[in-house]
Amino acid sequence: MLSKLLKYDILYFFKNIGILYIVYIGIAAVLSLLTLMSDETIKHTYGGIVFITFFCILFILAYAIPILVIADSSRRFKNNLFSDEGYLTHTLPVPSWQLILSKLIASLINMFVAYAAIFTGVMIFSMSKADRIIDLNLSSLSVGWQIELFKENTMAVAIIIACLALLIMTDFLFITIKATFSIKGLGVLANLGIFFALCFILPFFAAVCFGEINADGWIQMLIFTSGILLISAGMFFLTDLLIKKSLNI
Amino acid sequence: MSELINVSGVSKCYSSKPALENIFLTLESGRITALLGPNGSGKTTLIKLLSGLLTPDYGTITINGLPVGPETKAIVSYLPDRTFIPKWMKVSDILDLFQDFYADFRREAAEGMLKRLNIDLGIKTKALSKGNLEKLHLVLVMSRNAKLYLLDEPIAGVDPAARDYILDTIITNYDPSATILMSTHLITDIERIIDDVVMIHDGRIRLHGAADDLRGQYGKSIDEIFREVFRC
Amino acid sequence: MWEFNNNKPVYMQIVDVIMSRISSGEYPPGSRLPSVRELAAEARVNPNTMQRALAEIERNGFICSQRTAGKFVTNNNELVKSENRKRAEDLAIYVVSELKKINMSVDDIVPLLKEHELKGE
Repeated sequence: MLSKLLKYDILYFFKNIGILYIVYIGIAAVLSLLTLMSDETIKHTYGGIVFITFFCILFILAYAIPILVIADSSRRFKNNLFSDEGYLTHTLPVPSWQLILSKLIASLINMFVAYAAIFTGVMIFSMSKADRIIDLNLSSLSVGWQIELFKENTMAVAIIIACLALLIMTDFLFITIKATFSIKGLGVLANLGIFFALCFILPFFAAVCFGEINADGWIQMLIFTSGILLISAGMFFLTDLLIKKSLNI
Repeated sequence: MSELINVSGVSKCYSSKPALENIFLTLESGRITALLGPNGSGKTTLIKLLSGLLTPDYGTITINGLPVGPETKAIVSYLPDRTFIPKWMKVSDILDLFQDFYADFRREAAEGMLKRLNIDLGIKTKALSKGNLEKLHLVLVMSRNAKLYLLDEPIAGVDPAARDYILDTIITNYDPSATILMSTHLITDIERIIDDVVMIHDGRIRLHGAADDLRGQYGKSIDEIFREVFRC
Repeated sequence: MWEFNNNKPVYMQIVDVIMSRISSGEYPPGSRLPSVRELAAEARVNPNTMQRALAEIERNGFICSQRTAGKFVTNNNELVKSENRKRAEDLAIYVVSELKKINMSVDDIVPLLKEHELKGE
């Protein structure tokens, strides 16, 4: 049944945010095409200004999309388990831990797809002649460079995924506590606060690990990742317990 | 007639206020039972406990010999007094969902009923009128071949013609091997379709018996018996 | 639409309706009754209640079940006739008592009865 739950959680994300990814890639494509214009056209039309505008939008979206993914995954968790939709969810013939796990996995997949879309956009952009218009060193954006980066740091990727899982699980636990104990007033601000706190703490530790790819570093990273995963598992267990015992919708 | 539901010594409190106190109740299979009581008497709490949405603070509940959990959820079809279909779904999406999760879902029967109601399968549920949305919920719940149907106020807040439609749908889809537990205020409308009556007040059961027997015994309709039992 | 009085057991009222249909010949002797489900849907009652009513009628000998074939009205015309006689007597008792209340006698009502019998049908 877990796979069926996953099917609907992923379906939800694509129906809600999927269009943003397409918009992102679309803008990158348009931008690349614009750079093919001749210098004459650029000077005589407002090509330069249009270009800069679209470029800024692209840049902002690259940061906004991951935030939107996290926000949407919170919203999905809250609505599906603790709003009127919960009357449907909690009467499905599945154990409660599958409900949580399915949403965790769907959020991670969604993050992955979001970044894939952003990288695709960046790749399209990097193939263009943008350095004619903006003084930009495009070599750092090339997809080849990015792939090399990930190949050398697979452990770092694993850590990032573990940290993401922790981030999402913290969010889920927080939402569950709020709902089962009917805590009002904390709301969105506290949710965002936790999110940003984790967003700064975790990358810091990830950056520390980036610099430590040696024999000792491997052990450190392993301990770090295991710690993250243990904490996530603890939160998962706690969330499941709260839902089983104290659900109140 | 075998025992389908066994509620034993069940109590449930909401933040120190008792909603149900020491309830003992058994329901046989194959009967339509009305759960009657004033607002706040514990009707909805009892139904939510049976559906698995709530867990009792004390006592046990078994359905078909199994404790309440994923296995009982597979044989129980629950119609709450709220709309539960996600607003982003189309009608065909929610039919897919029911088909995916419930082995006892009869999709052709559901589609047939929706066609007769002129509800197009491609519409988003948020575009449906309130009446059609409620009928959609009823169609989904009654299209399952469940062993137990829990209906929480199925005809409240609905116009008389729709009420007739709902009661007719319940009767025509009713399989005599199945059990229906229906909570309601509108007793007169359901008088002729119920087998048994359970009256509940302040979290305790006041009366439990066969409807026709009670009518014969008191010489009154269930509605009138209710008014007597619950005279303010 | 079957009319029901919620003050009396519903199944007994169903028995009355079906018995009058047997008496009137609407369900002729030896004919097959509609299924429990069909009758319940027509009367808009619970199939269990309909089943109980039919069981009562069967116990009194006016219908019999044949396993797979369904329920059939009895061929025993005498039984039906005696039931009709009982009903007629109940009617007579009722009419006489009502007439007493308005201070009229049976002779007063016989021409009225004949007149309406001719008109009716």
